[in-house]
Amino acid sequence: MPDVSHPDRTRDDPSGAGGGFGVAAGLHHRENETGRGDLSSGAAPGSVLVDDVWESFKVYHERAQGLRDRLFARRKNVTEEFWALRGVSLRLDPGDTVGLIGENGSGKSTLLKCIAGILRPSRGTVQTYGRTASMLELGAGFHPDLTGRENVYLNSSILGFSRRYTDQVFDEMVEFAGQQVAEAIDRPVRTYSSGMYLRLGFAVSVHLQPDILIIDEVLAVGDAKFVKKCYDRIHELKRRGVTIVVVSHDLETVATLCDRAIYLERGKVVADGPSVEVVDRYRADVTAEQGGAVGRWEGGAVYGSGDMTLRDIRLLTGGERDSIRTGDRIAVKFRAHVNAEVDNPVFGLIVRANDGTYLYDTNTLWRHQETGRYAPGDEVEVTFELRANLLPGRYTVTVAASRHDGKVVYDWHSDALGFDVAGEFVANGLVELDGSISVMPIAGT
Amino acid sequence: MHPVRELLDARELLRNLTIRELKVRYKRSALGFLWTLLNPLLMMAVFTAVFSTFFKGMLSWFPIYFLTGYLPFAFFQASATVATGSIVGNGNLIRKVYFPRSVLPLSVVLAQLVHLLLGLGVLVVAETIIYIGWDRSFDWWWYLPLLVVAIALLTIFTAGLAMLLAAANTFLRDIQEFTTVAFLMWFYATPVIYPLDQLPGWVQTLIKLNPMTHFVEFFRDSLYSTSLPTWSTLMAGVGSALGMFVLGWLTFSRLSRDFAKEV
Ligand SMILES: Nc1ncnc2c1ncn2[C@@H]1O[C@H](COP(=O)(O)OP(=O)(O)OP(=O)(O)O)[C@@H](O)[C@H]1O
Ligand SMILES: [Mg+2]
Repeated sequence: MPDVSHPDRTRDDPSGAGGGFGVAAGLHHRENETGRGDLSSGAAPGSVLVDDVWESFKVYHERAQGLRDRLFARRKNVTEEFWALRGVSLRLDPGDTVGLIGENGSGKSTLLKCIAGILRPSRGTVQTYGRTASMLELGAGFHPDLTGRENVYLNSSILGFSRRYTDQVFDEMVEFAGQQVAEAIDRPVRTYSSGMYLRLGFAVSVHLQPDILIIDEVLAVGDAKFVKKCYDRIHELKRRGVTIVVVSHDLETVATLCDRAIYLERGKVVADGPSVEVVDRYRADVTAEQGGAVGRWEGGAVYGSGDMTLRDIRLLTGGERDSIRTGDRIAVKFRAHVNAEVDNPVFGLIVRANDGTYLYDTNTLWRHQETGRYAPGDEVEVTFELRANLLPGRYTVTVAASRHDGKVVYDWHSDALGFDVAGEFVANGLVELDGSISVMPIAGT
Repeated sequence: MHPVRELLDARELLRNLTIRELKVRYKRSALGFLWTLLNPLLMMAVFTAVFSTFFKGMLSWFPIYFLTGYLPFAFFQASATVATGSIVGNGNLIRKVYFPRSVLPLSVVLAQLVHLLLGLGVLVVAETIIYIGWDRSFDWWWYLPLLVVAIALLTIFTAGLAMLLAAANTFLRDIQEFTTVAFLMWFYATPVIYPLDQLPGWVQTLIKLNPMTHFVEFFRDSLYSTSLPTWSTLMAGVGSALGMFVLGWLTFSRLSRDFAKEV
C-alpha cells in the first residue's frame, strides 16, 4: 500500500499571497481512514476521493434519548436505519468546481459533511488531500455576547486559521464585510442585524485559503451588491485553483459557477458530468415529475410567408407513457393548412439539444420525396417517425414547410416541441451510440 | 493524522475557546472576575460557621483547611459539570464545522483551571500573611513543587472525566441530569469539610478508593499541613489521573466520530 497518510504535509504555502499561512498555521488537518491503496496517482492537494460511501442515520420513531429508551430501543424496535447515501463514489481533482444538485433530502448536505469530515461514513472511505474548509453555515460558532472582533478571531480559529494569519487579513475581512459591520466591529454581535451577522460570517470564511472549499447553500446572503462580491470572491478562489464543492438549488449558479455537476437522487449519483448537461437533466427530471414536459412547451419563433400554416404539432410516444426513454420510437405529427397554391412543398424537421446543439435535420427535399400539389383550403397531415437514440436530457423539435426548392419558407416553427428523454445513466453526451465495453485480461503478459 | 497531533495543532483554538469560556461567563455581570474569588470565600464563610465548632481542637485554621480542599474540588466539579454539556451545547458547531472535538471539554477544564489558579493565588497570599503574623507552619513555598504536581495530576484526572462525560452525555442525555446529585455525593465522599483520620477505619478505606481524596490530600500536604505525601498515595494519584485520562480520551475518540449525528 503506498503511503498516502500525510500527503498534505509536504506542501508549502499554497496561498501564493505569501501570507504566512504555512502548513503549521493551516486549517485543521484531518485524515480519514486510509483507502484501498490505489490512490497514489490522486494525491495532489485539492483532490478528494470518495469511494463507495454509504451513510446511515438512526431514525427514532419518537424522541428517544433517555436511558429508558436506549435500554429498550432494540427490543421495541424504535430505531430504524435510514440510508442517506447509498454507494457514492467520486473523484475530484485539484481545481475542480463541482455543483451538487438534487431534491430536498437527496443527501447533498450529508455528502458535503462526509467530505468535510463532520460525518464519518458508515461504509466506504473519504480521502481529502490538503486543507479543507467548510462553509455549511455562516458565523457558526459566533457567540452573541462577544464582539465582532472577538468573534472573528474565535471563528477563524475554529475554521483552522492561526492568529497570525487572522491578524494579517483582519482589516481585509472587515472591509469585505462592509461599512456597517466595520463600524460595529467592537460591539457584541447580538446587536447586529441578521444581514450584518451573515456578512461577517461570510467575510471570515472566504478569506480562508484552503485547497478544498465546501459551500452549502450559503451564497444567497445579504443584498444584491454583497452577493455579487461573494461570487467574485469565489471566482477568485476558483482561478487560484481551489477545489470547490457547492450545493445550491439555484441551478443557474451551478451551471455558471461550476464546470461539473453531480446529481444526487435518494443518496445515489444519477448523473455526473459537465454542469450544463447535468443541470439540464435535473431540470428535465423535475419537469417530467410534474406531469411530463411533452406537449407543454412554449415554443420559439414562428415565421414564414404564410402560404401554408402548420398547426396541431404533436409528439407521439410509443405507449401510454408520456416520457420517452432512450431508444423509443417516437413520431412528430402536424397538420398543414394550405393558404395558397403550392406544388410539391418541402416538409422538414430539426432536432436540437436543449442548448441548441444541432443534432438531426431531415426533410422531404433531401429524401427526394414527392409531396403533391395542393390548392387553398386543403389540409395535409405530415408524420415524421424517429427513433430517439438520445441520451437522457431535454431536446427540442423544429418543424417547417417551405417551397419545393426549400428557398422560401412557408411556415417555420422553431422549437415547436420540447421533450425529455429518460433512461439509465450509462453514458454522457447527446446521442446513444449503443456502446458496450469489454475488458479482458490478456493471457501470458 | 493522529488525534494527539491534531489536538496539538488546534492548541490555538483551545486557547481561544478557553478565553471565550472565561469572557462569556463574566461579560454581563457587574462584579465580573471577582466572582471567581467571592464564591469560594462565601462558601468558606458558610462552612466555617457550620463546621468549625464541630472540629474544634482537631483542625487549626479551619477556613484554610476548608479552602485547600474546596478549591480543587470546586475546580473538579465545575469542570466536569460544564464539560458534560459541552458537546450537546455546541451542537450547532459540531454539525457545521469540522475541528477536533476534544477542544470543547478541554477548553472548559482550562477555563476552570484559570479560576483555580486565581483562587490558589489568593490563598497563598493569605497563608503568607498568617505565616508572618501568627503561625510559622505555613511555609508553603517549600512545597511549591508538590503543589504543581497536585495541580497537574488533578487537571489530568479532571480532563479525562470531562471527556468521558461529555462524550457519554451525547448519547445518553440522562447523565446531564444525574451530575448534580452525583457530585453532591462525591463532595461528601471527599474529605473537604472533615478530616479523614477522624473517621472509622473501614470508612477511611472506602473513602481512599475515591481518587479525589488523594488529590485533595496533595493540596493539603502542600498548602495546609506542609508535609510530604506518602509514596503510596502519590502512586495512587498518578495512577488514577493517568487511568482516567486514558479512559476518557479513548471513549471520547471512539464516540466523537458520531457526534454530528447525535447532537
Ligand atoms: N442527523 C440526522 N438524523 C437523521 N436523519 C438525517 C440526519 N441528517 C440528515 N438526515 C436525513 O438524511 C437525508 C439527506 O439529508 P441531507 O441534509 O443530506 O439532504 P439535502 O440533499 O442536503 O437536502 P436539502 O436540499 O433539503 O438541503 C434526509 O432524508 C434527512 O432526513
Ligand atoms: Mg442540505
